[in-house]
Formats: sequence, C-alpha cells, structure tokens
Amino acid sequence: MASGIVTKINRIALLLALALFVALGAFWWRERTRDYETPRWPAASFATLVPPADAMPTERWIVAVNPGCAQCVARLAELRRRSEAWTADAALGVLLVDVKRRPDSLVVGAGLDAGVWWDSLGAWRSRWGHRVYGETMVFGPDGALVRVIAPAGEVAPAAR
Amino acid sequence: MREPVVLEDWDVEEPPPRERPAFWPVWFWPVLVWMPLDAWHERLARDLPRLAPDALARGQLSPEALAWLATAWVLVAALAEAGVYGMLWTARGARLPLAAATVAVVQTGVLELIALRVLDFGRAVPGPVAALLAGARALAPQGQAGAALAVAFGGAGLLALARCALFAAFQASLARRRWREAFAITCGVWLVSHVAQWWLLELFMGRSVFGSSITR
Repeated sequence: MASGIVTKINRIALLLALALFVALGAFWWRERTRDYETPRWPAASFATLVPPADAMPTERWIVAVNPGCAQCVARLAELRRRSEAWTADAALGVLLVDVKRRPDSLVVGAGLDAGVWWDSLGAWRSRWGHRVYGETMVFGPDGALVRVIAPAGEVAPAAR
Repeated sequence: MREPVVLEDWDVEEPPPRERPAFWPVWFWPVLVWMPLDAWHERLARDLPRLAPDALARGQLSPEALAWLATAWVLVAALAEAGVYGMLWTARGARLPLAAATVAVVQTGVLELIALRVLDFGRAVPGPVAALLAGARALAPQGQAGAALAVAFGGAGLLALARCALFAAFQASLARRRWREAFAITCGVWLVSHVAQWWLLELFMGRSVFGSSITR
C-alpha cells in the first residue's frame, strides 16, 4: 500500500519535472525567436540624467550599467581611464538599465561626454533584446549601432 | 521399472540475490564526503572572489563564509541529484538508497575538481589535451566563459564522461541493476540537465547573479 503511494507520488513528481522542462524549453524558444528592434541612439524612452556635451562625436560609446553590478562599475571605470587617451571623436556615456526608480546620476559619477541616461521603460532588455551588464554599445553619428563590445572585450576605439 | 529422471529446473530459477551492494562501509562515509567537500571549499575560496565579486562587494558575507556557503550548496546539490536518480530508479522498479547515492555523487564530483585543475594547467599549457580531458572550455580565453551554450556544454570532456561512467557503476551496484542501464540513465540526466542549464543561462544571462562573464 505504502509502496503504491510512493510510486504514485514518484510518477507525479517526474511528470511535473518533465512539464517544467518542456515549459522552460517553450519559453526559451519564444524568447529566442522573438524579433527585437535594432538599437538606435538615443531611444525616445530614455530619460536624460546628465545631458551630453554639445560637440557631436563620431562615435558614442554607451556602457549598459546596473548600479548593483560591481563588475559594470569596474568596467566603466576602466573605460573612463582609457578614454582619457581617446581623441574627441569618441564620447563615453552610460545607460542605466534594470533600475525601476529614477536613479541619481551620481551613481556613475560625472564627466561623461555622451551623458548619463536612464532606461526607464526597460527598452534595452525588452525591445532591444540585450541582457549583458557592462556591455558597450558603439553608436555612429547617425545613431545607428555600429558594434557591441562584450564586458571583457577590447576597448580601443575604432581605427580612424 | 526405472524411476523417471527428473531434471532440476535450475536454469530457470531466479539468480540468488546479492548479499549487499558493493559500496563503502557506512562508518567511512563521513570521510568520503568530507574529503571532497574540503577540496571544493579550497577551490571555491580561491575562485569565488573572481566569480562572484558582486556578492563580496556588498560586504554582507566574508569570502570565507561565502566559500563555506557555496560548499554547503555543493552538498545540497549532491543530495538533490541523488534524489532525482532515486526517483528515476523508483520509476524503473528499483531502489536507490539516497544517502549512499549522495555519497557517490560527492565522490564522483572529485572528477570535476580534477577537470578544474586541468583547466588551471591548460591556461599555462593550452592545448587539445586539456580540451579532451576538461572539455572545450579549456580553449576559451581566460576570464571569458563565452556564450550560454558554451558554458553549459563546455565541460563535456573525458573526465565528465568518466564521472558518468563511475557514478553509473555506483548506481548499478546500489540499485542492483546492470551498469549499461545505469549509464544510459546517467547520460540522459546529464544531457537534460545541461540543456536546461543552457536555456536558463540564455534567459537570465547578464543579470548580476551571473556576473558579466557571459557574453552573447
């Protein structure tokens, strides 16, 4: 009798595990086959926390930063350090992502030529399909996305 | 008249049950669990500052405490893994003792530690041998895990295969079934769990819990 109950519970547990696996796969497939927008800078939904400098740079280097991600902050610091050697045709900026309430721009410090922006509606994740904190999106003068640099990728500006 | 010869029906009889599964004696289990866990702790204490800097930066836990917490998680994961195999064996009409199976999971986990050690050597001497033993992750640049698929299946090497084979041998012994059956179950569970890992990483990557080592 007890053995029968155990067998039944075991069968239900295995079926649940199978259902969970199938549901996960379906969700993954839906996410993977979804069409995302091609990023353009700046998106209308982004709120400006610190306006960019007046000079129009050739490239805007926008780092996706979540204030709770220590690696992002470290990456931004590294980019700031290196950007001091860049010429005026590339400007560094920050897009604060996955932050529900309007953040203080000081969380990333001052002196960013491409400004500090807040992704208030979560467009970076939901509309662009981006997910990696600390990535750097390089936008051209027309606002088109030129390339995306991984958090540990090489950070030298494009050959000019 | 001669008595008819009655042949004994010995060839259709059930084979006699084995006295007890060939496994380590119970009194030795704490040692068998402690030694690998201690090795895991040493490894985690070394690697966690690199793998989870966010958790340490928040300052809620000391690196040592975080390493012990992660080591406890290794034990919990082993228990869960043994439970899953127990369920699968129950569905197949056999019984897998949970405690002994947990000890076996922890024991065979040593092979993953060896694979990580191979990766350490592989950094100094990169080559196909390291990849053959520890999986394609040995060829990834240091500090870069790569895409979710690479993270999930990057550890598929000879040592992972050996782990499956050895754990299957333990299971076959404990459940009193054939090794081939146990090996098929183990490989199936490995495949399904790594596919699930791949999907989960793709869905959640970039979130701070995974750090920023995972890139698209």
